[in-house]
Amino acid sequence: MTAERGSRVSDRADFDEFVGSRSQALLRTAYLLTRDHALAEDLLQTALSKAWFSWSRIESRPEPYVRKILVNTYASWWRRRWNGERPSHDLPDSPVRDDATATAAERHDLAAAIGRLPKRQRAVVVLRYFEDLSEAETAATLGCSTGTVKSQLSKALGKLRIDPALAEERNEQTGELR
Amino acid sequence: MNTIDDLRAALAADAATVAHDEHPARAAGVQGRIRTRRRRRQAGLAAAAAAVAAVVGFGVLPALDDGPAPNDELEVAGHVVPREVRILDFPYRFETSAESEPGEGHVELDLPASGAARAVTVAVDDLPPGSTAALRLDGVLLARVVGPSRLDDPFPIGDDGTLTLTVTGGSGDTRVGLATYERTADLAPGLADTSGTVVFRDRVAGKPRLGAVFARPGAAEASFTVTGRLTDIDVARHCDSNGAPGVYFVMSIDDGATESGRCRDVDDEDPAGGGYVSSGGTESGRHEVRIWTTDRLYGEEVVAFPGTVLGAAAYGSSAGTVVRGAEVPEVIERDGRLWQLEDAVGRRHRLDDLDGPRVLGMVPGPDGAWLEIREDLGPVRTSDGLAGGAGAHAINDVVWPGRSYELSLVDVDGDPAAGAILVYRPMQG
Repeated sequence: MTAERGSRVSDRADFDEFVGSRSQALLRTAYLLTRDHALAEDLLQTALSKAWFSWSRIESRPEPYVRKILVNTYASWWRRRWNGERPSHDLPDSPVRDDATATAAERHDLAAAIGRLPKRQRAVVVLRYFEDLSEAETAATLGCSTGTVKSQLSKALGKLRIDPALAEERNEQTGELR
Repeated sequence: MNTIDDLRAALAADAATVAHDEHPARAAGVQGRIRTRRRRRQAGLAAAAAAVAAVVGFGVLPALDDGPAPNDELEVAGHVVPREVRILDFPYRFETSAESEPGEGHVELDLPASGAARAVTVAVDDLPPGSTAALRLDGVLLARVVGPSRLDDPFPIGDDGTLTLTVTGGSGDTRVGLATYERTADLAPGLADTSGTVVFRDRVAGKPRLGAVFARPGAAEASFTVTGRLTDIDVARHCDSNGAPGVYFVMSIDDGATESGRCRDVDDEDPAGGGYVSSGGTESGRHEVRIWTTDRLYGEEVVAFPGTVLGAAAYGSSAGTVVRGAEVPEVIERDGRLWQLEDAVGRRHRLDDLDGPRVLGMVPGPDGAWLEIREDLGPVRTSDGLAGGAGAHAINDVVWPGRSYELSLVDVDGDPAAGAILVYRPMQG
């Protein structure tokens, strides 16, 4: 009994250390998924609290597991809470940009376009191009096949290509997302 | 803003808007949630908290929660329900379930919009003879089940709404329940496009796929060859414009345009399930099926539209049953099920003591007909009319067990009309 209690105390210390050291990085992923700071914090705390109950099994390498919970919770929460989210079809008029602000504005447009992707495609884009996970790691995180990851990524890039906000920029440039 | 590097940069810039310092209340917030989850687990309510659906007043069986799915069996109203099912070969994963207490006779399940297709199965136990359990979505009848003990086949439903399952005439031992499933991201076996969002299934309504093709990304046309007699070949097509306006497709067989139409921004993952056409030809041998995008109906010029998903498939067309000169299919797909022709009868027919649902159709006489369905405890329904003519037939209506039905073919005035009534029953397995 004493040993068990000691193990639990040690688990708690490890868990708290993980929360302290890694949660800010996970919060960035949560934000890219939700594009809402408050919801991202909510999502992160929920994922961490779920992870605690499996901590003894995952403490040797907890981050992939927590990230998996984060993404899957995001998917289910999207259904429960955020299904009122609607992409805006009324895009604001494009401002006249000087060179200094153009890059930031373009990145904002692209980030907004990513935010208009379906949740699963958005998750694949974030995991592949922000978290830099491989296709296999992305598949393991999402609980699907690598073929599904490829297809979702292809579909996501296809949607970004024709996103109205980005299409306007491409009128002034050549090339496309490859 | 044109490369993957730009995409990475945009994500990094967006992520950089997150504060660098840890939220001061995070650790306390996490511990508070852990305590809450622990209490729920101890109370045996963890699944209720995680379930997508909110259940009003009834027990909820474990839904998929945090971490890997357990391997224990799921039971609903005394029946073991599978964690995964296939509907027309498309995979669905268990989402949630609900069941009544014995004798309670009512289950209600609220399904918020999910963005994914859903399916439902009904389980009943100790349902006395003459009793029924009726499943409704937002008040619209989806199914009626009879006992005494049955786990019905799952079938697709809309992606949100309130499901109610209500027993009429049950006993104190009667238990009913339902389980819902959600489509996974995987497709049915078949030929899929490169993005994996649409598939020509290996078999549709029992018919094998003989050939299929999807245009390469960026290409505006594709073709394949198929061998056989044209009367034995049906073709299906898919054209998703992905939002681009003014996109049309043309599909041809052996240089003869078979079908043309506007490509839409559709989310149809199963184009062949939506129907197919025949060329009308009779020639045997090797045939080329070709599809291309263009800028007008039946346009001959191939015009590329970036982002368009384009494909075609051919299926074997097995001989149907000839009823009053019309060839009607032996096997059909409807509501996520395969149905087999059970009966082709005259202009009047009665259905009693059904053990399951039936799909009804008709072959009208030369002057056309309507199918009138008189339910012993319900309203009179009349199907859409169908003009008579060579090969004309229609398969429109579903009836459920627990009622008797008087079927008759009538004319526009409600007077008897010539023709034959078709009855299809669910195929087993």
